[in-house]
Amino acid sequence: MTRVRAEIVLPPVIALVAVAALAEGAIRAFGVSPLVLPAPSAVASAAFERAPILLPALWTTARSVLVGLALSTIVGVGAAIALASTRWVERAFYPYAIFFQTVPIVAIAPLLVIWFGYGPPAVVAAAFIVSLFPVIANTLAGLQSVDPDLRDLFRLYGASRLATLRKLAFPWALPNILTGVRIAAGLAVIGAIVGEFVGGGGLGLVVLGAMREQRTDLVFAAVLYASALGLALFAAVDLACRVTLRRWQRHDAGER
Amino acid sequence: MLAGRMQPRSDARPQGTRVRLSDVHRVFHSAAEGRIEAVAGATLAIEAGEFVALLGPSGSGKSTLLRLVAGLDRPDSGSVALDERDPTDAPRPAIGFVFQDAHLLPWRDVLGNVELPLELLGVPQEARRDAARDAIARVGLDDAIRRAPSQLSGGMRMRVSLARALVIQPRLLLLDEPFAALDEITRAQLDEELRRLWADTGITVLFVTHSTVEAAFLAERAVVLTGRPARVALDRRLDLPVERASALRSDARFAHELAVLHDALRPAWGAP
Repeated sequence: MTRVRAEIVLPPVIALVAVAALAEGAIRAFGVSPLVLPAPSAVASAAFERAPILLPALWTTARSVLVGLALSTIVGVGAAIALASTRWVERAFYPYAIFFQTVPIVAIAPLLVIWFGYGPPAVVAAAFIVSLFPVIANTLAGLQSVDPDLRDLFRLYGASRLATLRKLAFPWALPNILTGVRIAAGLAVIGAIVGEFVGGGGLGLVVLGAMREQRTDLVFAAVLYASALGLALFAAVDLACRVTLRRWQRHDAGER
Repeated sequence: MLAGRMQPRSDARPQGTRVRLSDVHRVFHSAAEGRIEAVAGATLAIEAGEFVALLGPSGSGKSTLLRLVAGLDRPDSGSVALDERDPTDAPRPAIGFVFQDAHLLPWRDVLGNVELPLELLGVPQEARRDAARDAIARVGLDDAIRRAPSQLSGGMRMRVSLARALVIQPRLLLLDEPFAALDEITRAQLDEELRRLWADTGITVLFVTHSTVEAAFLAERAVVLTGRPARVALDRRLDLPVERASALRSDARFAHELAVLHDALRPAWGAP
């Protein structure tokens, strides 16, 4: 077990150390200004020294991301269920759902500040908007892939629409829903940081402040924290996926 | 042992359902193939407690016919009646349906899958647990009651599917090529068990298959359908003993019935 872990964990760690060392050496050798590209050691020390600023900022951003992601999951699944209810509803509204995928969040972020004011609500809205579409699209795909024979079976026993949704369609689509949320998690972090650029607060604000102070090392440190947040979220959803999928093997017709 | 045509045992508990199809037509429209006449003027009368095999080449509308009987589809013209009632009328008649593949809910264990029909019909938990355990015991899966479908073999999954169909104590059991995907031995085993279940309960069984051997082994009566659109080409009472053990497969009468069924199927297959 430990050996297997080591095989998985060690290579990327070694690669990271090697690349960092190379970058460190090159930056020092060529005398690159820390304003342009700070050495990895400088970024690391900024990440540690400025932790009193970075950690609360991380927490603020994480909260907005989590609220935004929770909203897009609830709204996205609900919207997909509505879209899947009848062919007519899907035809009428799905094109507008795609709008959420194409909306340029950077352009719309100032508008969110106008609507929601400075602070977390605008940031949450930005995280929500960019993470909504993958939830809708994946949930819809899952709901529409329900085995038609099982639908017949539910009809045969007079199951109501609600019972069919609860006991068949929703659990059937759950792996797709989780896939959608996994994709949405990464996007929500991006949305939140962009939202913070205009709406203020969190790591986005730290990045802006550090830029004005020409503290490029702090910019990098904040980016590092943001990446860690995205990675942690992705890992959490991925774990949920795997635990669920273990039981949710839909390959009933494996002998075909 | 010289029992000729079999009637279900008189002590059989639930009386089977009578099935009447009269001049049933069903047409589908598909973008790719245009107008598809699946069933054209099928007329069939099945008495309570009969075991009927519905034979025909693939795509001959057998499955469509079965769905019409189950009330999962409506005929364009003609009528389907189960004990003089429309199968789509509520409350729906007690019908067990077994598909080509097991079609179990992968997130439920064996017990949960077998309980499902009772759950949907609103039977209280206690009662449905007991009924599900009984049905599972009938198909010989007592030991696997807590296993997930992914942990079962193809034959076991099919047994679960059969138990799920039986759990509501149906008066009509519809099977759509249920064992076609299984290996020869498992299939023969399940055929024998199905036959025994039928003899024990006296319910009406309508079994769709494309195998003449399976049809002759299982049924009292074989109905051969022509290819698309489905029409009845042969309706024959099989002259075979009640007891159907595997020895029957080498019996001369069995061979004769097979030959008759083959002859009826040949034009349906569109031989040269």
